[in-house]
Amino acid sequence: MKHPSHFRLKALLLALSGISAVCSVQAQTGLSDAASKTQVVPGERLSDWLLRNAGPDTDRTALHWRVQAEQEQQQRLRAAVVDGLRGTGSATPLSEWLTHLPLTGRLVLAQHDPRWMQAAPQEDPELGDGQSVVLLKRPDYVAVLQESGEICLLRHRAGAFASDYLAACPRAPGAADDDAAADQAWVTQPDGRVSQVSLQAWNQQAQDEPAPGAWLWAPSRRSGVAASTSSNLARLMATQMPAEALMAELEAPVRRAEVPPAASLASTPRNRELTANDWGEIGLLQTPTARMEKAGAVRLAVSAVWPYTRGNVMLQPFDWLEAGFRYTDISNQLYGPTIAGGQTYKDKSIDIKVRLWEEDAAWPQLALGLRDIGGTGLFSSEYLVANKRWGNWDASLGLGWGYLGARGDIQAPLGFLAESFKTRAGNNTPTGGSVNSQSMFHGNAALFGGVQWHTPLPGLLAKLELDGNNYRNEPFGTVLPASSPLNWGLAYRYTPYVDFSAAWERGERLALGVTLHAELDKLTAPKVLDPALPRVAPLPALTMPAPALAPQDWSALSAAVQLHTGWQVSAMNQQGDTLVLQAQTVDALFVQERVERAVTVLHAMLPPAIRRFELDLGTRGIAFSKVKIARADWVAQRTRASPPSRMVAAEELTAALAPSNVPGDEPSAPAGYRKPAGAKLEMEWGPSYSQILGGPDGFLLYELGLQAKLEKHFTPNTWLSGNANLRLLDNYAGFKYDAPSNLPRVRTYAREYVTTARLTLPHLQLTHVADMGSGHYASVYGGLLESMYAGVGAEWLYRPWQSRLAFGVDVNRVRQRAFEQNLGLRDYAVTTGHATAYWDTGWNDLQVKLSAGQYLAGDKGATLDVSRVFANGTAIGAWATKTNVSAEQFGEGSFDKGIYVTIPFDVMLPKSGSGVANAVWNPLTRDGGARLNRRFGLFDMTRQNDTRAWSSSSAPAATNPGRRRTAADGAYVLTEPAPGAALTMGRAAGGVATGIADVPAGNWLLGGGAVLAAGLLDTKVDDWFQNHQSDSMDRAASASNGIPYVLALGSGLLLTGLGGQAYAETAKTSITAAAVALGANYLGKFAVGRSRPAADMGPSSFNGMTGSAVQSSFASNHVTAAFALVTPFARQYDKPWLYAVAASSSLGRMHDREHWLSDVVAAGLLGYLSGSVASDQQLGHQRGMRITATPQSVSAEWMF
Amino acid sequence: MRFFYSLLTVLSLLGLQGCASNRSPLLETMQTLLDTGGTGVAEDAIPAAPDLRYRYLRVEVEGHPPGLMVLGYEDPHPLGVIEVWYSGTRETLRLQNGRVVGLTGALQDWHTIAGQSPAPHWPSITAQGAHYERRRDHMPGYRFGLVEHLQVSAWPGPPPLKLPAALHNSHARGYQWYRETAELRQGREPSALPDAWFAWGKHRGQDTVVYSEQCLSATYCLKLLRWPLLDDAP
Repeated sequence: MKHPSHFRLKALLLALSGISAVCSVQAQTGLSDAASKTQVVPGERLSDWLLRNAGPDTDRTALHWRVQAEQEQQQRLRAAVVDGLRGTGSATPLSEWLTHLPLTGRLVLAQHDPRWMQAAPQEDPELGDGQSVVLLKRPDYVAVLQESGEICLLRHRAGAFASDYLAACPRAPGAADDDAAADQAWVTQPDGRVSQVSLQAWNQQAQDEPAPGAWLWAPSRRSGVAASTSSNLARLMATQMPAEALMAELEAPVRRAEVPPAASLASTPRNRELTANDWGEIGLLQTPTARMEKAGAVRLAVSAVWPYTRGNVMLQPFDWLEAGFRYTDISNQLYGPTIAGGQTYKDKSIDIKVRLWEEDAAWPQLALGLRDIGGTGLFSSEYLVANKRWGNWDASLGLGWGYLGARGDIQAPLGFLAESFKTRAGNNTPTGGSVNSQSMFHGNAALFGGVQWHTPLPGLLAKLELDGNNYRNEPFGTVLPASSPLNWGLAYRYTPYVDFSAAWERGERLALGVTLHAELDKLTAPKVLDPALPRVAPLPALTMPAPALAPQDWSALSAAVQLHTGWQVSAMNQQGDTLVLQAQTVDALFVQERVERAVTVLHAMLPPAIRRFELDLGTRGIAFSKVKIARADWVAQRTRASPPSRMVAAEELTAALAPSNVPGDEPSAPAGYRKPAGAKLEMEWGPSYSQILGGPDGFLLYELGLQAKLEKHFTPNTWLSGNANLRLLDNYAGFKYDAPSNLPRVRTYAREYVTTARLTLPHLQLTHVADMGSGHYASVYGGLLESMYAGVGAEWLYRPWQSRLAFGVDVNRVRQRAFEQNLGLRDYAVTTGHATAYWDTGWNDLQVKLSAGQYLAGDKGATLDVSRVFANGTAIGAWATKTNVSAEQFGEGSFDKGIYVTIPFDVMLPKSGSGVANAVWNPLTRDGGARLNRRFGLFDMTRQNDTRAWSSSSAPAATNPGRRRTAADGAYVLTEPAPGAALTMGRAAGGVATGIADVPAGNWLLGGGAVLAAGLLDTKVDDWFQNHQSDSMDRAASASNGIPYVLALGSGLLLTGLGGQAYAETAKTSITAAAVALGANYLGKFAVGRSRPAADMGPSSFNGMTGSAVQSSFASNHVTAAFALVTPFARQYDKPWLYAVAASSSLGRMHDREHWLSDVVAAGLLGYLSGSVASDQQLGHQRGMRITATPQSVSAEWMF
Repeated sequence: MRFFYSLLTVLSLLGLQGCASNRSPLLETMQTLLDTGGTGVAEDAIPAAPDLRYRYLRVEVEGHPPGLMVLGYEDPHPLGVIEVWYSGTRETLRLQNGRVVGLTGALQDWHTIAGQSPAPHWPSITAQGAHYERRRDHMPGYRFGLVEHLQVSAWPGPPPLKLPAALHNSHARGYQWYRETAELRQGREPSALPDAWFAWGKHRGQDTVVYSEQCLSATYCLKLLRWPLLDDAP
């Protein structure tokens, strides 16, 4: 229906919409019956204005704080709404009405209580030019904005929900029931807050009531209006007055209606309660449903129904994916005398459930699940299940195969696909661990399903189901009594974190269960044990220059900053009106919160004449970030509320400059504070606890003891760390089992390591880290690296400031430690290391880490680690490692894999601190794919370079509505779509292409010619070495193979400053060059995939771009590294004989038939290229070849 | 129950030791919880003799350690002065004649709407009781316009409640106690409000509500005690 004439806008409304420059108010009236106008005093707080103009009984429900400058933003919002409605059924009349709405500039307030605002000045606006306050009388009506452009006006009814108001509104003439039905409504409350609520029985959820003065918008499901447009429309209405006031000024067709009394309204909308079934999945009793928790949910569910007791851990990394693992104790079956004698059988299993379709008005939710994937497959099942909800009732119906469908009354539903689908073989995977894909969805199936009823008692659910299993084909050939296919029971949500369940199953047995659950992404803990921060007081006017601080002031300041942040203040001084502070952060979690605390302390303790703060933040001597704070702006934002249009950034965050930029280093620098040199030995002790779960000697093997931890810094970036453990109490007496192994026992001596000695030294390590500039970092380390291995290693990482990509290489030469975990060593030694790419995808908080290299057992392969990291720093992740060890060789489990959950202590504990808890589940410890447990990895150490380090919060706003800020959350701004994963990948690929294109063709030709020439001799040289094998040659080759390690160790030692500063600088260049060269070489190996001479496939066999290609022949890592390491020294100290040392490393590679001649020639060129370019860059030479490596590209250019 | 949760907390923290990269915060937290009986607040956190230039209200919420609020303002009102009390975290509590008429910035916000029948004066209330009506807005949930019918009556002797240890029996016996029962007439509450209790007596030489227990929802109840009691013991 069109309303032509239409929409008049009265002059008074125009004035109040902010066009007038006069700040005005109309107290306790609608705009049409203005009673009084009161000028505001410029600079006056809104709280003062309210106390001056409104009495204690004045209703402030529809208080408007209006800022003229915000109208431009709101105009864009209105245009977006009108544009979004174009082409929908709501287009013409509604859009026309919307275009006549006044632009008010209204912003939301955190609270409308002036006495509260006085205590929270940061939420109390300071009124000024272009601002106005409108205080309307308490509204009486709720308005429904209809697609026709009509407004349905209903008197507010306490206890009525959005669906009640919508049901009471007359339906548009001629609209069919289904056409008019709406599934969602957007509620704009009179205080300007907007929420989306569900309306139908299938999507019902607990929701707020519309308050008097609220606007409702509920487009029908056939309207074609996008959810984003509806959201924008609701936020646009948040800028408007309640309908009864607006209608007085702006004409619109109005229908009036009445909501029935509360007693006759529909029942209060309730959430759909989801609880775990006996298997830990969201489901009924034995059967799963298609329901899913929200992303971030975790639960630990324990259930018992004879003969099975199940311990389930389930994780919800995405809204559409549920995954977890389980231990099942089978009480009527023993492990057997060969393994664990009288212990009952324990089975491990992994589950996964994927949502295929989300429920809507017409269609049920659909999910596909796999239970007990791989392993022994005793309970392996597959299922497809659907769910439909009607208010408090939720029904499921599914089709199950395997254990879940053992009743088998539906004959091979997928038999039409192939003959093999008609039968289902029992699991015959000898080693377990591999996915039982051969039997999935095979054989007969059974229907299962049931219904869940949410009883009137909150949190109490009644469940009834048809089981798909007849219990005649249980594990180990047993048959369980089952007199009924129906199971029934109750589940009760005792607290938001604890559920209990009881059921009668199979007509025979009582089942009991308890579930602990939480939402990882919403974990937060108020810091009630932290010392109270000083209050942020307004900054007094500047009257005199900054006085110099006394020494005791510096000490007090340093102590206060450390107390409130946990940082170690390294240095401070005063440079004019700027306070420069350098601090070492313990870790990079919630760094923005720590900055806030530090500045609060600085502001409280420093004289007003200090106008700026500069914080140089680093970790272990490496500078990462510089935060510049304009004190006046920072204080203003915390002592008054400002509209977005007037917000000035008080903080400027940049990458730290040169790492040597230490305040006070400069000879002319003013005096200040500097942490005393030669820091004392830091030591702490406390209880220790560790456990082994699920072994055949006992489900839980534990030890309790005391642990001492020490750390001694020689320089900020060189330190010795260690810990000792005294085992006091344990149940290792029955720990007898050693896992079988076909590989070197690199991890399966677990029993020996934990039981041999009570007093152990798990870790004692000397570490040095260095910032080599431009996002390059390096570390060298040596000692007792972990409880099972000692040795030396080095790591290089390239991680530019705030980049989503990083790349690193670590190389370690380690020897197995004695079981006593003292200083003794065993014979087994290995070189292990990986090249690792890190990628923060930006999609669903997903982070990916891909490593390739050599593992502890000498096996070669790759590890993929995928995790979702939530805003509060908690993470759910999984990894899998596949190496060149066959499944048979690996043993049970087939390949290494695991699941982990990471939780920062800051979100769990009432006291701020560093560190994280890592709960890792690795179903079986075997020797294949085993990695060295390195401490102080550079990627963790450089987290401050991550954008997320500055955005993560221990109390995300989404989980804490009390953190809502005046004007902040209610900014009526359109949200731009974030770049997706595809775009990010595209940019990275573009970077690679650009880098390759930058390499001059002439250089490729030159290097390529040398390699090709060497290639002509490949076979002859290989033949020569085969014909000259001897003991002396073997010894020479063995020595030759060790050359790169000796060179790396030498560079590492020089890097620590052992040979003086000049050698340290060259060593840094040397290690950088080696890391770049090795990274490039791995790329080359992957691309070329050349067979090694030992494979006897000839020098022309290539198979690149495969997983195994990174282990291929072209080119030699040893020779590459050797040349890259020596070249900077050879060039800078005129020692050409070093090239001979590097070249001799090729002898062993060819003697051992690991490489062809052309491989080592190419490697030598690559290493020399990298070393010489890095050397030139160090010395500032602008001529010659220049190489630049980034995660996206490796590029080289020749400067003439 | 508190012991159970404290034990659970300590055991959980101990369990986390097994997967902790840094034990300091765990140890510090465990130490503090053990030192404070699981509350995190030492027994002497509320001073028995605070700065008497200010006026205090001892507030206790079930499941939380007690805290003090300080009187910020006394806003004049025809039905009696409205006292505005502040907590350390800026929660703002309004009391009028000892009754909660407003709470802002807390887990539950409460605002009593003026214009209904006034509550009876305390000394005038007998065992037979008196009636009045209350209209209020309640957050979260935007439950606006709730109308309740209240019956308040004098209660002989101390009430059948577990009173805070800070309110000695000798004090409790000397006060006149009142019980107030609310019946919802308009609106929907998830469940009925528990009864409110008020103790009328002398504080700093004036007759006032010295202690009260008032619920803002079925599970969010405040125990309010004027602090310190000093020599006002009846």
